[in-house]
Amino acid sequence: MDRAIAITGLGIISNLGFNSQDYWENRKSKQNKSSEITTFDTANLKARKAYPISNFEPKAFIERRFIKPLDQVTKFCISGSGMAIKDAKLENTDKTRVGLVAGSKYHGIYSIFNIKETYHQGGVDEVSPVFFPGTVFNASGAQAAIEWKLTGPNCTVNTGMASGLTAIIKGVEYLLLDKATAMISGGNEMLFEYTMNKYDRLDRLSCGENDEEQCRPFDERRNGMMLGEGACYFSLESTESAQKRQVPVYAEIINYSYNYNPDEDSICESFIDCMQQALMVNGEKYNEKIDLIVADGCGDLQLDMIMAKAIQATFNHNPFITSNKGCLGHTLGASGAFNLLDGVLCIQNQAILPVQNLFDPILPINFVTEFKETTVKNVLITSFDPDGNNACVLLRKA
Amino acid sequence: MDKKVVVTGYGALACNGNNTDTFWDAILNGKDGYSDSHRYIDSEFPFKLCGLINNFEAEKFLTHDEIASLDRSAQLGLAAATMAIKKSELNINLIDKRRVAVIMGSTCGTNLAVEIKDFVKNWYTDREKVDTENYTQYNHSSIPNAISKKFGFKGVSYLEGTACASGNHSIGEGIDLIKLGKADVVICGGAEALNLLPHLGFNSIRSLASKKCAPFDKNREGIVIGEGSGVLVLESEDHAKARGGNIYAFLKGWSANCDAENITSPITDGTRCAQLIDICLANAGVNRNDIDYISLHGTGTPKNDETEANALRLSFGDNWMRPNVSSIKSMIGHTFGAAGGIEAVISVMAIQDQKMPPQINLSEVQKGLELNFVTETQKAAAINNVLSLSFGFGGCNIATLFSKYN
Repeated sequence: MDRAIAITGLGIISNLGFNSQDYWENRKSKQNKSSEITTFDTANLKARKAYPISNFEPKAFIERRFIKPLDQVTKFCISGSGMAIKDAKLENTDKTRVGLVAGSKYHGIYSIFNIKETYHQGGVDEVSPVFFPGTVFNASGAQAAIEWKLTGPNCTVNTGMASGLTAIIKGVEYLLLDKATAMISGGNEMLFEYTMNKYDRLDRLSCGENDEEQCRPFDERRNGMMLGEGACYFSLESTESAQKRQVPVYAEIINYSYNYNPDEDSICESFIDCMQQALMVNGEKYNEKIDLIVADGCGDLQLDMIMAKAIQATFNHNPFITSNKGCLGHTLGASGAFNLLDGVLCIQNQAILPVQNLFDPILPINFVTEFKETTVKNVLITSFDPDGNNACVLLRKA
Repeated sequence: MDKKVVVTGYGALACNGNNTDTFWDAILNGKDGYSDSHRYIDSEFPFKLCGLINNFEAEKFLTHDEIASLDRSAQLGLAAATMAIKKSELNINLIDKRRVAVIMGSTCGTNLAVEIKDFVKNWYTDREKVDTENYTQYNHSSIPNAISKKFGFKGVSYLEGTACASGNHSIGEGIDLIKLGKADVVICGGAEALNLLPHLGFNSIRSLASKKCAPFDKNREGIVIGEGSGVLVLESEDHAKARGGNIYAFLKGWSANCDAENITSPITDGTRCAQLIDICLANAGVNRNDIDYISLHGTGTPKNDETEANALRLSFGDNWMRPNVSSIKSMIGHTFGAAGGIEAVISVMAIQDQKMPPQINLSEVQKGLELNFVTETQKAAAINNVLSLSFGFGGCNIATLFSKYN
């Protein structure tokens, strides 16, 4: 990257809170927010718990009056992106130069099943035109643009579970090519019975009696991931733009990388390659400068080990490692954006957030299990999809 | 960032041609591919006409494992990409696969996987009987990833979502990846399989036609839903030259903006789309009076056609009747996320063959929507610059500009 991109606004819709202070405090105290799912039937599933958002009031964040046609993930997106815009004080800037990139893996799934169910039960004439827009993959990002009057580039990208971080990278690229002066980028996902059924049937979810059903990233006792939901958005602009507008900068993105691994036998090598590319900044290797890695550890038996081995192979100086999925669950397409949020907040607070439910690490590397105040200058953010999509972002203190 | 981007391969299939050559031949001859056979439509469904590829020869392009594991959208995308890569004569064993990216656009993605009868029946009765293959097929990112996996590409691979502008958007972002130095080669375009959802949705907003799609015609009724895929191989000019590849066109620039007004309706005065065209021309460094042909979005809905005609009048001013224009949706229907990819392919082939795709079903142009429509088949013309327009649901607008390579 020939210039740094500043993060000037944060927008958070999560089970840990709806602003950065609440998120930080809850994440710091390792509050386990997983609970039994009540919004759909889990009687025939092996897994029963997830990390739902229980007290989200969309009217607190969305200004339009008629919000009934919007599905939950769209409400998340509009709310999170709006929060980031306001936090960056972008409300009164020229909106023709402000765009939005959303990341999601299952966007629209609620509306898709809703319409199909209506059709199967009542026939074609029962399908409502009001709920159709939500089925389209880019609906949430487009609705956010409508709500906040953003007429710059607008799209939704999908790299599976790496979608959120990929969306942020696409936002950075629009800025590097001067196609916008500010980009609102992040990810969103909602908890839905199809995804729960899918991962349950594929034996990817943690399950069991009592405390067996628990998300334990990088722990020897891990037995699968747990699903979460939410939205996490960032306002991005050039450092010069932030200075000119005299707005505070949370952190700067100084490099990024993304790749794909077409070969199941080389997942680890591919992930290492992605990290190494992000760590090479204008010809300078940043490996030894990294203070913290926000890893995508989700409690999966194989993937956590692959990730831990990749980190071990990439760094010689034992940097700190954290993961947020013990507190958030796997928010799928939003996950990478939440990983970036952890990095940003650790830089801002000069402290490191711990990994929840980690007592017996799978490898002797520097996992942080208790909240730690320390110097945090450079952070590597990672995101990963088992289908082969990887993304990394390198953050530095402004 | 001053790298030039060229097109070195292309591949497409749609209802009027199941491979690039037959498709292009049908387009130039004004042949449509509509049929009333639709795998979902029962007797109660009021709209039967569609652009289904009845003779998709999946086994010509895909392995048995790929056919079994991939949703139809991903299969169509893989077929078009395979043809595009073959056309490019890229030596897969010699190129740096870490420097090859894949971007594919789609509106409905892999929705078909959760529409097939067995899934629907089991989902509502006994979920334990749902085939796990259904779960793995419902994976939108499998559309680009299937291409990366087949050819071993290791650059970024992602699905682009801007609804009906997705295919064109993926090509625009392909330019960006090369200009940013993130890739030497980008495989990009769009893919879409017919599925139930858009039929239900567009029927609910009264935008489906009961007869053949007739963009800009006085008696047009709306869209006819089609399926297909169109894919380009983009390279930096330096990379293409170094390997001795054939160059079929320059891809000089692109633009993106958003109406930010209404989720289903465009801004019909054309202002936003005129801005889009202006930005694209500036980005490409091409004078508007040098545009020879415009591939219209032209869906056949009243609001789209009005928007597009107004946009061209605003952007081209007194010369709005100068460029030749047509919408191939008159022949293949609206292929949603694939449309921009397929229209990119015809833009390149028009430059290559110096022939313009016609627009059919245009008996009497709607008053106020007059443009310089190409209605003649096999129309030869000097074509140096082509503008391709796509407007997506949610007001997402994309323009790309292709030029003759000298």
